[in-house]
Amino acid sequence: MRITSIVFLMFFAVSSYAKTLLIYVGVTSKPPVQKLIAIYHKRTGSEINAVYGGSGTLLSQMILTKKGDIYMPASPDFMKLAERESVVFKGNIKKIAYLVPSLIVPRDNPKNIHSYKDLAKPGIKIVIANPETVPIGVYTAEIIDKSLNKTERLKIRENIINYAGSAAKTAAAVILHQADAAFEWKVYSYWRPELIKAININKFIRRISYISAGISSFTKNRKEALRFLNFLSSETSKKMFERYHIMTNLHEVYKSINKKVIAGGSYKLPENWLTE
Amino acid sequence: MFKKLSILSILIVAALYLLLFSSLLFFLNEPTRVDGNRIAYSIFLSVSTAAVSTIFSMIVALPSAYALSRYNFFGKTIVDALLELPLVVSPLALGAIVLLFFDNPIGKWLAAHGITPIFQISGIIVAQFITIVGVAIRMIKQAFDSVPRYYENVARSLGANSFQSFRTVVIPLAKKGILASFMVCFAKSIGEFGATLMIAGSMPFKTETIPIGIFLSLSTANISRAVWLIIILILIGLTSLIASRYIIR
Amino acid sequence: MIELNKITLKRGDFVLNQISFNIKKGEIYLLLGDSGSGKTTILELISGFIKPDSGKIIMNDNDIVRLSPDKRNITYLPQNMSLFPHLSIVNNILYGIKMQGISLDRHYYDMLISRLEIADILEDYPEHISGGQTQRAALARAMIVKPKLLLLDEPFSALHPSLRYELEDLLKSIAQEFNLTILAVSHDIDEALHLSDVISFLHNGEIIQTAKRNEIYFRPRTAEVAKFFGIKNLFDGKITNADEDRLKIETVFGSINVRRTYREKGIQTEENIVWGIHSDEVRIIRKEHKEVRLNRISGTISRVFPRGQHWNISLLCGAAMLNITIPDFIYKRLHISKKDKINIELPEERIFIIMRPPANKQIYRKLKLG
Repeated sequence: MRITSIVFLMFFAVSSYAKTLLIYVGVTSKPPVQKLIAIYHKRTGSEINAVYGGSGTLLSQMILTKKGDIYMPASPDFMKLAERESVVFKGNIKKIAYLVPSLIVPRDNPKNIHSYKDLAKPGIKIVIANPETVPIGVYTAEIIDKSLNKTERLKIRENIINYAGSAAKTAAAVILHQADAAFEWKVYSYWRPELIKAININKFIRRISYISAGISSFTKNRKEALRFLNFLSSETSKKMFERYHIMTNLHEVYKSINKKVIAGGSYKLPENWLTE
Repeated sequence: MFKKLSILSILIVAALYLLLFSSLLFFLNEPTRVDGNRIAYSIFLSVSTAAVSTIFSMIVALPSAYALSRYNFFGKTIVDALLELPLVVSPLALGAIVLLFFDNPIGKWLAAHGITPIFQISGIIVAQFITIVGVAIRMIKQAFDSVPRYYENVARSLGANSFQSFRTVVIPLAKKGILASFMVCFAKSIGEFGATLMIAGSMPFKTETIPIGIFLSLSTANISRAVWLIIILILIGLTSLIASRYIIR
Repeated sequence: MIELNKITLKRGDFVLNQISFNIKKGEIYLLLGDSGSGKTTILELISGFIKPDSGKIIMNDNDIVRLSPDKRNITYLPQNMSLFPHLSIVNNILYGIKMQGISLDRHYYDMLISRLEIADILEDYPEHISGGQTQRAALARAMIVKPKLLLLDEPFSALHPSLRYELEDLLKSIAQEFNLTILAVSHDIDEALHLSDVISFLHNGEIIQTAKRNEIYFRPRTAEVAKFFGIKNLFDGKITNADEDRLKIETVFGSINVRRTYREKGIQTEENIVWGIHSDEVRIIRKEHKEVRLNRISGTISRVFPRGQHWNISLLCGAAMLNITIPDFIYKRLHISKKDKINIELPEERIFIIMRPPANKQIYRKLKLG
């Protein structure tokens, strides 16, 4: 009886602890956000629980569970979707850092892939992130759809062997040699340089993405959520993202890819994407 | 008194399941054309891969189970325990083991020669096979255990060689257990998720089995497609399990 | 025909020790013993389901120990007959023919079917036929492949006695007709005595005595065999005189005479032995008979109780108790009851001698075989 009541109390203690926030974070932001949560906890004593994953999957989880205080996807495409589905409050979306799409291959590059065009060669195994649920997947689909004529496009699509469930899993497919190449945010090549090499596809980049965060409409503690949101967009936070090579200055991003493209915007996956 | 209580408790559990299942109907909408095609593909893929992996596991399980049931050999206890491993190790871990195997030198060599199940339809079969073959062997071993030894002895003494007595006596007498094991393995294959996700991936119109489809549908909050797939999964699983019960009777 | 030569097998605590015997063609040979004595194991060795640690099984001059069961042409019938439940009777019978891929001897088949009276049940399945029919069908299945040796494990022990005798008679006559060689095992004395020509008594994995059935019954060689046959009248004795054809023994009942047989060859005076007699071989002397008889003993009845068609009488003769069994009709004629004093006679040709085992077991074994 006593044990039951203790378990009971613990259960409610956790779920009703007002200062505990639940945040949904696109997995690419995981390294800096983990550190930031630790710093924030030291400063304020607040507990932050974070769920990481593909930004679209996280959005679906929020919709299905009707839970969460902050949503932090890796691209504005999903933030817009979240606004449309009334999962986040409009008007207070904070831009935090920029992500650049690129092509990555295993460090030893067994299939000798040096350019975007090499992907159309027969027998190349390509993994892309799921364009329905992962930001880099949306950017990948856009590049494939817009940069190539139909024959080239179909050749590349024939070589795609899997859709990964998040950006991190996409990189893992390359690291584990399940894929000869993958479209991925360029930062991953800075994180694991001994395993991953980035191939320059700047010519084909249509848009760059930005990480943003907003307060969820499911929050029960808007004040606390706002406080953490402000921390996420603070200089401390930006420095932390920079430490992980995620750029926070748009000009530097343009310099790194030698051109100016739209930051943000959105791309709608064509109806026939799956059946083409 | 206890009889009434016990029957009541099992009825409550059954009612709970029924309530859960029937609440699905509430979310049932007519699927879009693309969703419809995707669902149809998933059903076809799941049923055909499950059939293949179940047949493969039967081919392996029949002689293996016979050896376990009838012979003593070096390391039998360890082999026996090993077979139970898939029941306690999560399918996700099993799948990860296969993934890592294909990143080691032997696996890489195999993959370089085109032999790899990673992100292939064959990966679904591998995933289902490794999760069910232990179950198949266990169940068929039980069926063989229940066939008394003296029938085989008589068959042998009448001039049947060991394979003849296996084929004409042991298998027919263990038929019910074998069929039941087939149905259970089929149902388990259809429901396999973790290992499939790891090994075969989750690509629509390629490796999207019914459970993977449910997972992907929920990742895009496509509840209607998820519900359709869940109902189909339940129907196939339930049919197989009920069929196996009738077979055993 | 078939000879076991020093077959030895050790499985955990169980040991078969140097089993040797020889079955002649056309003989019904029976291994008698309690459960756990190793009977069934011997059948499994001969069938080839298990291999001995050492020893030979010689059939027609070949050692068949390494031969697999299907190559031995020895048919095994377990206790429950084990008709295959998934096959009809006719398919059960033809099983061996089909497996061996030999063509059916139609004439022999028809003869078996009619002789065993199973023509009516050929299309039935084993679960639908009676116990007796099961035995007959199983016999047909075993005989159709014309085995060199037929092994029967407690063939009729599960059946009702009346049906059992009928089937035992049938088996005996068929065995004679078809010149079958049979090795049966049983723990049942009646079955053993009724069926067999030769009996080997098995105890704790050793053959204690092998003899024609009458001899083993009336002249058990050891106390184990005697006790197995239900002989309670076993007594110590000392040889006081050993003639060529008669022995004199000093016993608790005084001096008694015993007709000497070939078995007491080396016996000497002063030797300690055990002697015994079946309770139904003890004769009660009626009061009116006055003539002097050999081995006459008097005693007081301490207990009388019926046992089926017989009466058991416990007779107190001095310090020793003698058991007597008499048929009901004789009991009625005798008018005896508890506390009566009666005279009995121990027929000298019915008394058997059990030689004392010497302390050295090796010599004892030689003695038994000799």
